[in-house]
Amino acid sequence: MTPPDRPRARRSARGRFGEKAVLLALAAAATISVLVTVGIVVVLVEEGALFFTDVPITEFFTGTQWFPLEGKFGVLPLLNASIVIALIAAVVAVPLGLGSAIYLSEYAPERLRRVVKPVLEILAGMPTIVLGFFALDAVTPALQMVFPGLGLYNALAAGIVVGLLITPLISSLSEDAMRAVPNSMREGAFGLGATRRVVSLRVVVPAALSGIVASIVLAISRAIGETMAVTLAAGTIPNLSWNPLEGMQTITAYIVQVSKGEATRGSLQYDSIFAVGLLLFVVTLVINIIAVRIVRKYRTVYQ
Amino acid sequence: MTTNVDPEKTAKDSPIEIHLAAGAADRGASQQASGAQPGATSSEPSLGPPIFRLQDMGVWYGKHHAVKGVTMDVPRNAITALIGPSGCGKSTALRCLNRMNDLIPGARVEGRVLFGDEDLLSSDVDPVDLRGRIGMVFQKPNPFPKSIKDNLEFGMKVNGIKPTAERVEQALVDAALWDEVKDRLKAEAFSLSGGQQQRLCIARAIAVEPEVILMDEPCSALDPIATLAIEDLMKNLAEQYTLVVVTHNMQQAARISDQVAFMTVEGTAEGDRTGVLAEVGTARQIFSAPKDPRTEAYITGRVG
Amino acid sequence: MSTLETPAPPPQPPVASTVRPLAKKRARPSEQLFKWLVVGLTAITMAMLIWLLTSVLIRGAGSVSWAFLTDKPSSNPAKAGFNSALRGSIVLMMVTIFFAWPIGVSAALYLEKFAAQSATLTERRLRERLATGRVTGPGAAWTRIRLWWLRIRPRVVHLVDVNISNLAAVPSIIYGLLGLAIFVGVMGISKSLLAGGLTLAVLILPIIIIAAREALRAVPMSIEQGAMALGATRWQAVRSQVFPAALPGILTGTILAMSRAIGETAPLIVVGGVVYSTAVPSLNPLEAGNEALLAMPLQIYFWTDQPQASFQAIAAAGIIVLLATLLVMNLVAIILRNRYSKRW
Repeated sequence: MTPPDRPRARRSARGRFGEKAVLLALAAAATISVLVTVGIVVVLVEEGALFFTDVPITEFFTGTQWFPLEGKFGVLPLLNASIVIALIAAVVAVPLGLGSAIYLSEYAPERLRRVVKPVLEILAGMPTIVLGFFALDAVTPALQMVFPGLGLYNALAAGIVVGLLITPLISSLSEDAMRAVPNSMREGAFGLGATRRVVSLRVVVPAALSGIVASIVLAISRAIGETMAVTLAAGTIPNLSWNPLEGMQTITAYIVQVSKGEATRGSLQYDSIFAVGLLLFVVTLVINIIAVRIVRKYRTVYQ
Repeated sequence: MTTNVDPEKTAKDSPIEIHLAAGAADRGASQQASGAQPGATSSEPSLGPPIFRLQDMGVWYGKHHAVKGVTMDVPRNAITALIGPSGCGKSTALRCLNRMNDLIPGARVEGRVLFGDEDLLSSDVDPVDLRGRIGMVFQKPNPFPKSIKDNLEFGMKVNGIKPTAERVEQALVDAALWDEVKDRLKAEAFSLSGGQQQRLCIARAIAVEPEVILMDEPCSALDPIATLAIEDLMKNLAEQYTLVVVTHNMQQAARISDQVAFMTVEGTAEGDRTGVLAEVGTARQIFSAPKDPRTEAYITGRVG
Repeated sequence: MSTLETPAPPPQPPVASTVRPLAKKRARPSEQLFKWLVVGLTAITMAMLIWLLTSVLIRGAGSVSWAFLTDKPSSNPAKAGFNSALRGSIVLMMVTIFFAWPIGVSAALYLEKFAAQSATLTERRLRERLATGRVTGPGAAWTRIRLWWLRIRPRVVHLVDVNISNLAAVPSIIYGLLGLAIFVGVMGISKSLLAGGLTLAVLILPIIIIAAREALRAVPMSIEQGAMALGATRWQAVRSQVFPAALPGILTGTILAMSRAIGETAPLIVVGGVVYSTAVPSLNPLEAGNEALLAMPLQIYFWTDQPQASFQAIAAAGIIVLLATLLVMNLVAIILRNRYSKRW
């Protein structure tokens, strides 16, 4: 036992130095995450800038043809394809995701919910290459029975499987938002003589709206950045069209197409994937920021 | 006005509002036991005719017998207070009266609750319709995250009442909230203070023109001033509506209620804790001359 | 209409004497319709998943065999095996976890346990030191810099937070471009398993940081404070009490991050291209820099992209192996979570 009147010990300098070193190392690790972002921006901007020294930025954004081998670099066909497929995906995923969310949050008995929810999340963890295979091998043949003459590569099949991929994102985040609506609010509505449908649609969904909208926005961002399923299912022909039955090449599919072959470093094609990558990065970043804003601005804080 | 007095009912039902639930395991016995105390009648101020008759009502949550053997009448156009220590099942009992327990998975209600002369627990009664006629106000104010006006119109639309400006105004006037909010009906309900929110919830309940309003500790989340405002409001509402109010506050029960039902907890042999009705009577009788020793212990502050 | 009246006290006309009969339970078609709508939408989603799994199983089950797992790739679909891809994925995961785990967990520890803590005591001490005038010259400047850092630290941490959650939402193909430019371009690493593993490490870094922070946050403050009350420094308390308690949660999150990485295809294609190779990668991760970039999803993509139908069958077989791997990883994560998760 130490005597009670011992002088207050100063912590040994060595121990403190060791701890400072550890702390510094931990802080350095945290800095790496920032460096990754800086790295992404620098790489995309630097390599993209090389591209834009050869291709005027106006041509890039207004040109309607993307034939790199002929030196035609109008990004609209690629961007359009990304948007068309993301929209098809949203048309598939919003009803499926919201319906599942409402069912799981408002209707399903707890035991069923505990089974259904993880099963839906399997879809979210499905490697996208698997969805691409599924689109080519099963979805397109099935669609060909409905639309005779549908080509092997088409935006519709790609959009459907991407929709499947983002459905659990919508259902999971929306369900979280709906379950965060306090039960007292449901009881208030039931106590007034509301039916379960009215409680779901007129009380719970509006109260959870910011979370629901944010989940949809995030899902669309995910759909735009999706790569393998669209590369395999929608094909590699740039095509400025709104017809979902046609094949079209998205931004991501173009990057894959160039990467697959050996585009030599420094070639215009090599630079072009960073330019379209920059566009993709900016588009998804803007969408994500919108989602965060929506949540922050319209979030209702329940006591 | 026709008054059909059913002779059979008259013979069976006790003439007074006091039922001692001690022997309530057997409903018939309980009725007779209470009937055997005619002396109590003389001191009774006249409580109106009953609107609810609870007969051996109980609630199970899965295997937990939360409440059992509640037998009492609830007089019309009066305030009935349910008091008792926490965990005695007051709120659970209250929630039987508009079938809110239906919404809890695994909950089961036994016995009978006559509303008029029909058992509202019967499976062929529409609970949604019933809740439109028996309104409810909850412990914590729970306005919807919408405007004040939307909060009121919600219930009207649900119940097929045309949501006119007059009806909105009338409900807010009746809930003593009109003067405070008439200039900002479009404001978010959440912008109101807690007491105002609770009065909005009362207005919301009134707006659907119910016959009964159930209140589950409506003041427990409010400060004393807001509580007084709500209490005044309840007394006014009792002229038009039947109120059943759960409260843990005995002073409140004494201030507002016409009839008081005291519930308490009994341990069972299996280690379950079940809420039972110990005593029911007029407020004056319960607070001045409780018959059940448990009631006396509670109101004199020895227990709970 | 009948009224309920008690005989005594003497009958008095009630204010509103009649109670309308209760409405009988009625069918509400819109209610039923809506319920079936949401049930149906959930069922369709589940059915699509079942369709996906069965179509892959039917197409590929016949091709899954021991030989398939142990054979080299071949241009002949009947002889082509998955062994190289399997080995490639294993090495890839080793490289990925070697880089991502220590960095991710360290970052989480710093952000959760140090940067977010109040520094009022340190701040006061530094202020007093300046006030007494005991430090001068460079010493004073350094003290001022430290004070300035303490003041802006909360804002910096917030920015890092936002940055990490944004990184988690960046499309994976962008990480491929980053890996291509930095690891292959600037650092001159060949298009190898090492380059692929590093790219995937960067990809899952934000996922690991987020999961580890959640696991650390789940450990109640009282544990840490208890240790510090016994005289431990914060680092000692974190290292000896908080970190071990959070470890099962961190490992669960790590496995889930790896199951994301093992299915990633696009960034690997961008970094390494799709090469046809009959090489069999060594399982020694130190050799990763010399091995061609091969992995299960890349092989599946290569096969799916072939026009011949017979390649579709082995692509499906490869998918079955990949999904089985994912299943095992997820089961381990679930067991870990259920077994070691504590209720505080």
